[in-house]
Amino acid sequence: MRLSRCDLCHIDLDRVSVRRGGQQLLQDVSMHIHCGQLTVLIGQNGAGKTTLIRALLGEIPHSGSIRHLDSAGRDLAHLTTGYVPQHLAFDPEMPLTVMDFLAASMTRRPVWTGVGSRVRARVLQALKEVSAEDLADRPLGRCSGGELQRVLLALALHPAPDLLVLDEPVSGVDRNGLKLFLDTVTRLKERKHIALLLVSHDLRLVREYADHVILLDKNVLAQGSPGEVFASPAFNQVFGAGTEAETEGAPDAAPARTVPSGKSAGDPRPDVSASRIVRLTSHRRDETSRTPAGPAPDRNPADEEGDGGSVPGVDGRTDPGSERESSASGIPSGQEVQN
Amino acid sequence: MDMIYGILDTLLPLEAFRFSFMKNAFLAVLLLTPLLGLLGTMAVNHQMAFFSDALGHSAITGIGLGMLLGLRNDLAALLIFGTVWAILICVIKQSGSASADTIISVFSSTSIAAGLLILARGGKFARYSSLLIGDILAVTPDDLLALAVALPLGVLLWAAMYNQLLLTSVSPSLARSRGIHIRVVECAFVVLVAFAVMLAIRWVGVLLINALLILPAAAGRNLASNSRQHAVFTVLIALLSGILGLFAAYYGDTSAGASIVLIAALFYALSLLARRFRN
Repeated sequence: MRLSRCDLCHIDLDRVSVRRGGQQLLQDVSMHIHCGQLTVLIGQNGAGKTTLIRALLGEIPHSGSIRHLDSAGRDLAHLTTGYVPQHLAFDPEMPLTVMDFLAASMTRRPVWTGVGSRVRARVLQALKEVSAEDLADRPLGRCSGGELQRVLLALALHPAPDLLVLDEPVSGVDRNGLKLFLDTVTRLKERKHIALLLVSHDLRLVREYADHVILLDKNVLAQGSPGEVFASPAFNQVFGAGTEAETEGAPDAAPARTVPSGKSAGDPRPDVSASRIVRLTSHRRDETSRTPAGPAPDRNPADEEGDGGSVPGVDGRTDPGSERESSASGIPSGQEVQN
Repeated sequence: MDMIYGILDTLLPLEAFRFSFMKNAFLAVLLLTPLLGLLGTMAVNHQMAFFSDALGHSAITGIGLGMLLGLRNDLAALLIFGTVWAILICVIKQSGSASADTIISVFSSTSIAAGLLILARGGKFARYSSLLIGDILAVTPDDLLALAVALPLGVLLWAAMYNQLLLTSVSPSLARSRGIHIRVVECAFVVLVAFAVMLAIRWVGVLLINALLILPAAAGRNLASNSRQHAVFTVLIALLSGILGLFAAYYGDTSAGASIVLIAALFYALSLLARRFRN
C-alpha cells in the first residue's frame, strides 16, 4: 500500500519489508512519521516493533524505502536519527561517569585523558536540557532506571536529530517515571523540529500522549488517532475484545506499576487498567489511510525486544529551573540497571 | 644506549644495575607494562579477559608456523599469526554463531594443540619452553628500540579508538546509531591487543602474559570512579608491579615474570580491600 501525500515534513516509510532467516518479520509497512508529532508504535511481542526500529536505524537490511521528505514531498538531506535504547547491556561496575559517557560521544579526545573544560560545559548543558546536570559525575552504573533514561535522552539530542526513536523500557521504570518521560518528550516536540517515534507497551499512556498511533503486526493493522485505533476491529483482535471497555471503565488513579515485560511469556496484554478521558490532540492528520487488518499472522519469536533487559524511563525535561518534577528525586522507584 | 645507561646509573645507583641485562630489563618493564595496562582497562570493561588469554596461547602456534615456513624472525611470525588469529576470532564472534566463551575456548585449545604439534616434533619442545615462561632478562638493546617505537604508536592508536570503543562497550546499538562502525572498532582493538601481546610474549611468557594485561586494570578498576582514574591507577599499578617484581626476582634469584605477576596480584587484593573499605 502506498500512502498519499501529506503536508508536513516527515519520514516516509514506503513498503518496508524485512525478511530474516527465512521468516517474514515485516511485510510492506508504509507509514509517515511527522515532525512535531509523537507517533507511537504498538503491537504485541513479536509484532515487529523492534525490527522496524532496527530497520530505521539501518541496523538490518530491508526492502522498500525510508526517506526524509519536506512538506512538498522533496527529499531532504541526510536523516539524523537519535536513539534512546530500551536498555543498556553494560557492566555496572565499570568506572565510567555520566560525564565520561557523554563526553566520549561528543569529542574525539579519549576520555581517559580527562574531559576538557569546553566539552565539560557542553555536556553539562546537554544534561541540563533534561534536568540531569546533577548526574554528571555519577558512575553510569549507579544511576537509577529513570536517571539513565534521561542521560540517554540527552545523548540522543546531540547532535540534534530529525528523527528521535524512543524504545520504551518494558521494566525498570514505573508508570510515574514513564509519565515524566512522556512529559519531557511532549515538551521536546513543542520546542524542537523533531519527528518522534515511540515504541510503547502502556496503552493508557499511549491514549494520553500519542498524536498518532500505529498498530503493527508484521504490517500496519491500523493507524490514526488513538481513539480511532483503539476503536478499530484490529485493535480488539490483537489486544482482545473488551480492552477498550476496560480502558474506559477503570478508575483513574491506577496504582503505579511496572509495565509488563516484553519478554514474559505471560499475558501479553499491555497495561490498560485505568481510564482517562482521551485527550485527542486534533491536529492536522494526514489523510493517510488506516489500513484494515490482514489476518493476524503467526507470532514470530525470532524478532522482538532484543534481549529484554531492564532500563528505565526518562522523566521530565523542563525549562531550566522551572519545574522540579524531573529532578533525580522525582523518580519514585527507579532501579539500578543490571545487565 | 650508553647515554640511557648513564642516566639510569645516575638516577638509580643500584647494585643490581651493575649488569646491563638488568638495565635492559628495567627499561623493558617501563615500556611494556603501561601499554599492556592501558589496553587491559578496556579488556576488563569489555569482558575480554578470556579472549586475551586465548590470544597469548596462540603465540605457540605463531612460533611453530614461523618455524615451518622458515621465517628467521620470530617476532614477524608472531605478529602476523597473532593478527590473523585475532581477526578470525573477532569475525566469528561477531557472526554470533555460538557464545563468545565457547568460541574463544575452541580457538585457545586449537592453537595450543597446533603449536605443540609443530614444536614438539622429534622431541625438541624443550628448546621452546622459554616461550611458556618468558625471560625478561634476555631483552637486548634492539628489542628496546622496537619497544620504544611500539609504545607511543600503541598509545596513539589506543587514544584514537578509545571513545568509540567505550560507546560500543556500553551499547552496540547506541554506538551504531551514532555512526560508529562497531565491527571495525572491535576488530581494531583486538588486533592492537594482539600486537601488544606478541611484542611482550617472549619476555613475559605464554603462561603469564594475560596477567599483565588484566591484573593491573582489574586492580585499578576497584579504585577508580571514572575513566581517567582508571587509566592513571592502572598505569601506576602496572609500573610498580613491574619494577618491584623485577628487583624482587633479582634479589630472590627467581623468575622475574612470576614475581611481577604476584606483586600485581597483591595490588589487586589490596584494591579489593580498599574498595570494601570505601563502600
